[in-house]
Amino acid sequence: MTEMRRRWLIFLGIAVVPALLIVAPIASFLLLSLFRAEKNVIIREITFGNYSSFFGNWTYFGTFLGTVLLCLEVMGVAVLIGYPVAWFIWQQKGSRRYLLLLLAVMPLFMSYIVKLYTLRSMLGLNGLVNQALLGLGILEKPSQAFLFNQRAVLITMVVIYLPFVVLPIFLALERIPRSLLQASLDLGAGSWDTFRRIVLPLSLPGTIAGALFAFVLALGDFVTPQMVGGTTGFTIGRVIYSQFGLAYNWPFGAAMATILFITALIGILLAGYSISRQRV
Amino acid sequence: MGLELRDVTKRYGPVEVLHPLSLGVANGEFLTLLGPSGSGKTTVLRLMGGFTEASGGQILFEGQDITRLAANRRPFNTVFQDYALFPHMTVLENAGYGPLVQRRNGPKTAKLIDDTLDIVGLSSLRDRYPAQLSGGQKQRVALARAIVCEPKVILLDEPLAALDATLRRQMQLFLKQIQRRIETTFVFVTHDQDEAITMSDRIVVMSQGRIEQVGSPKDIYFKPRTRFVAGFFGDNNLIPGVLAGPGKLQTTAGELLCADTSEVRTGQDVLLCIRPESLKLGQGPVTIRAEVEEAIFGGAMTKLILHAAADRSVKLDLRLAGGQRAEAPIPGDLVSLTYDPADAVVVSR
Repeated sequence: MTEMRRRWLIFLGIAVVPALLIVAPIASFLLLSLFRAEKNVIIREITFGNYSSFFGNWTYFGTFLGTVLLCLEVMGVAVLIGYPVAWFIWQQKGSRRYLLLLLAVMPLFMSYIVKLYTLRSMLGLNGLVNQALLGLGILEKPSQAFLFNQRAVLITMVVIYLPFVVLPIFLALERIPRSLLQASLDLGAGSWDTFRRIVLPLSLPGTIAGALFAFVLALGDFVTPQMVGGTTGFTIGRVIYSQFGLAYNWPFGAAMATILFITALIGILLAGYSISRQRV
Repeated sequence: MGLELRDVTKRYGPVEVLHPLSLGVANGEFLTLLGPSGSGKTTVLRLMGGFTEASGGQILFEGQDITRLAANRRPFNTVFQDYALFPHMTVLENAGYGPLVQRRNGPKTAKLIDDTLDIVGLSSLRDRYPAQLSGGQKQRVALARAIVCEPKVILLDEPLAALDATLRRQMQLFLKQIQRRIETTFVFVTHDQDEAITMSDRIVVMSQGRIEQVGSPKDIYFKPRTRFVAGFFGDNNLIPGVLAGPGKLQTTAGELLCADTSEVRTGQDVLLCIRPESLKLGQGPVTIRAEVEEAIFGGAMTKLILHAAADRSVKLDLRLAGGQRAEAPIPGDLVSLTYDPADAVVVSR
C-alpha cells in the first residue's frame, strides 16, 4: 500500500465520526427543507416553496430580521460589558487574577434552566431589579418593563452569554507579551495610547471570537425567548420550534432552520475573515 | 557625568537583589554591564529605564533626580531582549511609533524616520511585518525604533542573545558603529565577555548584586582586582598562595614572583593570576615545573593543559602559536614554564 493511500484511509477513518454526527444531520435537514407537508404528511417532492413562502411572508421574514438584529444587539452589549470585565481581570496581579476569572466563568458550570429561572425571578415584578430601583427611589412602583418582552430577552441573553465573551477576550489580552506594553511606555506612550494602539488591536481577534460566540449562541437560542420573551419577545427560534412541535410542518421548519444555519455560517465566515486579516 | 546611580538598592521582599550600588555613565560612552545570570545587571538596566522602582538611593540624569520618573518621561529608550516589536505594525510603523505617541509629526520627523531606517539598513524592508523578518533584522528594527526617539541614553538588554554566532559578531560591530555615528550613550547588558571586550569603552563586572570592578576592557582583562573578575573574565591560570613579601609569593607550585603586589598585604592568602598567553615554555627568572596532561591542536593555536609538578591540584593552561606545533610537548612530558612577573597579577583569596 502506498503512503498516499494509507493516509487517505486514516483520514477516512477519522472523518467517519464527524460525517455521521454533523454532516449527515445537516444534509438531512437540507433535504427535508426541500419537501413539503400537507395535513401533517411529508410529501417527498423537491420544491423551493418553503423558501419562497418564508421570504414572501413578512410575519416570518420580519421575525427573522428582528431576531438577527436582537442577536447583534446581544453581541454588542455583551462585548461592551465583557471587554472591560476581561480587561479588569487581566489588570489584576497573581492569584487574584485567576480567582476573578474563575468567578467570571463560574455561571458556565450552572444549569442553563436554573440560570433562566433565576433571571426570571430577578427581572419580575417583585424581583431584585425592581426592588433595587424602588429602594433607590428611581421607580415609584414596580415596573413590568423587565420581563416578558424583547428587552427581557436581550438582558437575559447578555447575562447568560457574557462568560463566553469574557473568556476569549481575557485569553487574547493575556497573550500580549508584557514587553510590548513596556516598549510602548518606553517609547513615550501614555496608558491610553498604549491601550488604543497596542492592547486593543492585539486583543481584537479574541474580541471577535467572543462576539461571534455571543451572536451564534443567541441566534440558536429558542428557550430564552420562550421563558422570558412573553408575546413581544418572539424570535425565529420560537417559530421554528412551533413548526416542529405544534404545527407539524417539518419541511417549513427545516427551511427556516437552514436559513438560520446559513446566517450563523455567514457570521462565522465574516469573523474568520476579519481575524485572518489581523497580524497577530 | 550624564547618568548617575547613587547608593541604589533593590529589594524583593526580604531579598536584596542589588546591594547599595553607585555608578556613573559619561555622555557618549559605551558602557557594558557584564555578569552571570542573577548578578543584578538587568535589574540595574531596568532601574535606569524606569521599569523597576529603586528600593533606596537616587538616580540622577544631568544632575536632575529621576528616581521616581516614569519610563515614558525619561529621555532613554530600551532595546528589549525579545525585541518587543509590535506584531501588527510594519517596520515603518514600528520605527515611527515613538514620534507618533509623542505627537511629533511633520516632514522633519518623517525624514528622521527615513534616515534612521537607512542607517540600520532597513529601507527596503519598511513595509514588512515583524513576522516576515529574520532575527538580525528584528534587532535592527528595535534599534531604529529607539534611535528615532533621539534618546540621550539607549539601554540594551542582552540584545544579541538570540542571534547565532556569526550574526552576533556582525551585530557587535554594527552596534559599535551606530553608537559612534549617533554619538549616544549606550548601556549594554550581557553575560558574554567577548561581546563586552569588543564593544565597550568601559565594563562594569557584576556578581551577586554587587559591582566587582569597573574599568576599560584592557584594565579588566589585565588587572583584575577581585577573584571573581580574575576567574570570570577570560581564561586565566589561578595559583593559590601566600604573599611572602613585596613581589614574592609562596605557592604550592613553588616560589613565584609578581611585579605589583601593592594591593595585598604580606601574609595574606592570595591568588596569582597569569593569562594563558603570558605563560611560556622555557626557563626564566621564575620557573614552574609542570607536567603536560593534554595537548590540543586548535589550528592557529595549540592549547596545553598541565598541572604543577609539585601540586597536581594546580591546573595550568597555556597557548602555543601554530608555528611551534612541531616542538609541542606530549602528555606526560615534564616541562619548565616561565612568565614575565610584570604580566602577573595578585588578587586576595
